[in-house]
Amino acid sequence: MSVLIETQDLQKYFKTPRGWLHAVDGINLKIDEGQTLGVVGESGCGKSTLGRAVLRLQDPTGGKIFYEGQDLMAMNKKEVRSMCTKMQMIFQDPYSSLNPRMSIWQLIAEPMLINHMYKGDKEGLNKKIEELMDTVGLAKRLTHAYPHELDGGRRQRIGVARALSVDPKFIVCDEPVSALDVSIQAQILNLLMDLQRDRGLTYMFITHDLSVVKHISNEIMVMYMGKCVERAPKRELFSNPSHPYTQALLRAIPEPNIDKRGELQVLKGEVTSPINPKPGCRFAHRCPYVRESCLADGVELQEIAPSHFVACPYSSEING
Amino acid sequence: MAKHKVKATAGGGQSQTKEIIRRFKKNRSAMVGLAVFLIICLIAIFADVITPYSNAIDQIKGARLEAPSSEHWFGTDHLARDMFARVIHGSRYSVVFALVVSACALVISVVLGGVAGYYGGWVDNLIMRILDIFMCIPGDLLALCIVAAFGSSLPNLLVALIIGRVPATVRIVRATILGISSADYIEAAQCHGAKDARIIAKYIIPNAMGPIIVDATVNASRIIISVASLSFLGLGIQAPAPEWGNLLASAREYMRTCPWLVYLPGLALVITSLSINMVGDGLRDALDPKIRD
Amino acid sequence: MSEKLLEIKNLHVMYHTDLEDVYAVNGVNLSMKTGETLGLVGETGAGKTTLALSILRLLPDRTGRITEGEILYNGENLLEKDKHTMATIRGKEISMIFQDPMTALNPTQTVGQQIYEALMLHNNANLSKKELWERVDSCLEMVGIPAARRKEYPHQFSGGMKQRVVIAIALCCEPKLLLADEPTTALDVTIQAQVLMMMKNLRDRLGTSMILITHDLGVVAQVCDNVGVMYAGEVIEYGTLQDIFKSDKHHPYTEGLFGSIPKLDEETERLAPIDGLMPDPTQKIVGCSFAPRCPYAMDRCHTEKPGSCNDNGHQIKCFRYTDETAMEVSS
Repeated sequence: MSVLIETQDLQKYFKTPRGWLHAVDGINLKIDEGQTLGVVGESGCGKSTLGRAVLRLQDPTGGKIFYEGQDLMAMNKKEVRSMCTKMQMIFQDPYSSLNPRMSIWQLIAEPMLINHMYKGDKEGLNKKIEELMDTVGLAKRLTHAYPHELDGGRRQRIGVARALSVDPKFIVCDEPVSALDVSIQAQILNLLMDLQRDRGLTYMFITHDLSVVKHISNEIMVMYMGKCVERAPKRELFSNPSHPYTQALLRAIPEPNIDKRGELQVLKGEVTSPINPKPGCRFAHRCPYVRESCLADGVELQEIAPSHFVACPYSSEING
Repeated sequence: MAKHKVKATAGGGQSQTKEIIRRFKKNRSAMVGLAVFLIICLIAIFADVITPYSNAIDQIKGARLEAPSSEHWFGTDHLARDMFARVIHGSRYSVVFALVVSACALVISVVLGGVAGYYGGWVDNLIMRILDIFMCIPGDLLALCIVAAFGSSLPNLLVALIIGRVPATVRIVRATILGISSADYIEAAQCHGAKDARIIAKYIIPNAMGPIIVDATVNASRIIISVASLSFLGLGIQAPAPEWGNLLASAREYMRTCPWLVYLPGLALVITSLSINMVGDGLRDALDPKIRD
Repeated sequence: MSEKLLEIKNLHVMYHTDLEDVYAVNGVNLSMKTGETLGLVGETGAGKTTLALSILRLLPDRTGRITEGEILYNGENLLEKDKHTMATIRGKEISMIFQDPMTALNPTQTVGQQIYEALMLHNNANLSKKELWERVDSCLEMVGIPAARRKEYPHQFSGGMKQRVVIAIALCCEPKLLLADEPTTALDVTIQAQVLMMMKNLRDRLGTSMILITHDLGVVAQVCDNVGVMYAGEVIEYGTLQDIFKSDKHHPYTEGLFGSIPKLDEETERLAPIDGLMPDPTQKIVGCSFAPRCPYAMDRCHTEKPGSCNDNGHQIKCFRYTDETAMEVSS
């Protein structure tokens, strides 16, 4: 398997009246072709910004991004634009991510028209759209319907068809099922997994829902306040969660299982925003195991097991 | 209630435009306003058929300040001219000015406001600060100054009125576009590699048109009043042209003895302006997705 | 304590607009005892919120209408109460927490003032101003907010903290029944855990009965005693936690709901979602409302409405378990 996407020390800072917001702060990741990296975290942890920075939809402040070894940061605007036939995105909100003035046909055709595909070949374009609608499970009679006439699930299918239209290899899925009801959510998850199997797609799957990320990913990255706190293959992460934050996150989920009633563990405090963050571990103020040295110096990711990285120097003590 | 907005069945292909037209049609006062305005437009277009222009200018011997009668429906003025012909031909000025000035102001504002709203940064700052200077002076007063300074020719009058309207409209356009540029579908378009020109033409303008058109109608009704006010002050259309403001100005002296000379052109002015306003209100309600029947 | 606190009988609610009629609640029967926590689960448009608003008679005046049924609170029909009586019941007897804490608070008043106001409206004991402010402080501390923060405005609070304030307002008059509409949906998981645990503790301490509306089966498993599963304006399955989470007998929709959730503690290759969509709420449904999506649908499911099978309180509206047809609604 070859590496499709790689970032090195990727940073994205925003200027706010109170100082620099370190939304994404030194993220290193690698995604192999045909694999899914799940990115989990709570709101404001920088996961959506990371997805956008990887596509250079938001220009990173620093660091490097490689697509099949090509350095995206070295490209000019025009070259980045041409990359959109290889890298695509599916958005969270199926209501606001579709232009209300376009019909489904126009919405799906748009990326192909922008990239001059099927130029002068209207028949080919129509056939392709029909094919795409069939792939994502949209009935043909909806071709000329408008988004406001459809429910959330169908709208999200348009979002998927639109992303697929340029035959990309890599898709950033930014909370694609969060706005949907559970039964519809399952339909879309199945669709995404089928597409990956049939087309060998590579996903970066951003979500706040651990059960969803567990279902769809091969590898999982947990983010907290712009930093990666833990990264591991799925099974390893769930069987051996090592960072205190990952553990807290897992124990905070109410599971639909009455044998586990009353096992919710409450983490004190709240997420604050990483504006001019102090050195040291960003989780320190909520961490039940906090020590003085946690506040002092930057905490680096360490490999504690094969491919299992944790940004906590005391993880072995805590778990041991 | 919001939860039930999503319709489970679909496929009709009913576009938003149709939906807007449907909602507009349901609004009775808007439809009345539209009908009245269309009638006024027809009167303006066919003014010569209704009564020749010469009737509005030529004096009728021995018929000075006559009350309305079957011969002169609206009476005659102090220079013995037929008021009916004058009011009818006066509609041409109002309608033409309303349409031309609001259209020009609209185009200029969409360009300026669009650039300011979409690009932001220093361009935005530059445009908005210059317009802020214009905003300090009320639109009508600004127009008055320009006409007073450069003379009251027709082109000067047009330019003055346009400049008077542009700053406020640019603000509305900019605010609308700022709102739309932050929508997810703009980001989606960027993600598909769309260039700025395409995003502006296919995404921003169609979605911004609603509030902007509403503003243009409000502008049109204000312009009718502005033209009349300038003429009333002697700085607009020059006598003997039968502009409604002129009619009012010259009728001022005879208000006690011949009130119809004031009432009739005044009424024409009010009805025209009101009808456009009613259309504008109707459009605003029809275009606002938050007001759902 | 086996008295029925709330009993809903054959409730029908519709929204009437110029465009269409929406049948939001179609014949709901429910009852709950004092001290019980009832979970109402269902997806968007199942009629959960409408049901809660009907109990408080807070349906939008112009469009919402209760067309049939009774809502008995302590044996008295709330639908027959006049406006004034309802106002005294709201807050004092029954209160509600809304989904979005961001919009439920008045941005121009301090949180202290907002709690104070709620207390003052139902100040039957004629407490003095000072005593009332002491109550405000104790209410804030009850939900885990330092009393000193009562002088702050809502925008100075985070989402989780705002929801705590909303809960404090809802509980300050110690209502007998609390309607919580998706109280933690807008919150992050770690904050959700905090708020859920706090609600659970407060409920136990104050002895409040609660109806918890949610789409999250996990939340139900944590907090509720009994569960009603709603679909297309009907309660299609009702039972204890054991019945819903452990029994083999289920309504096909409930099965689908469980099949749709990715599990944390087991590996699933593929989810088993429910095909299709919720029926159009503007159409009156003939037969079982779930029939078009149901994998077990028989011919009669499309033409007759199934009655309720009752297995020791575990009720399922499905012809797989009962032969009875529902009493046809008089129309």
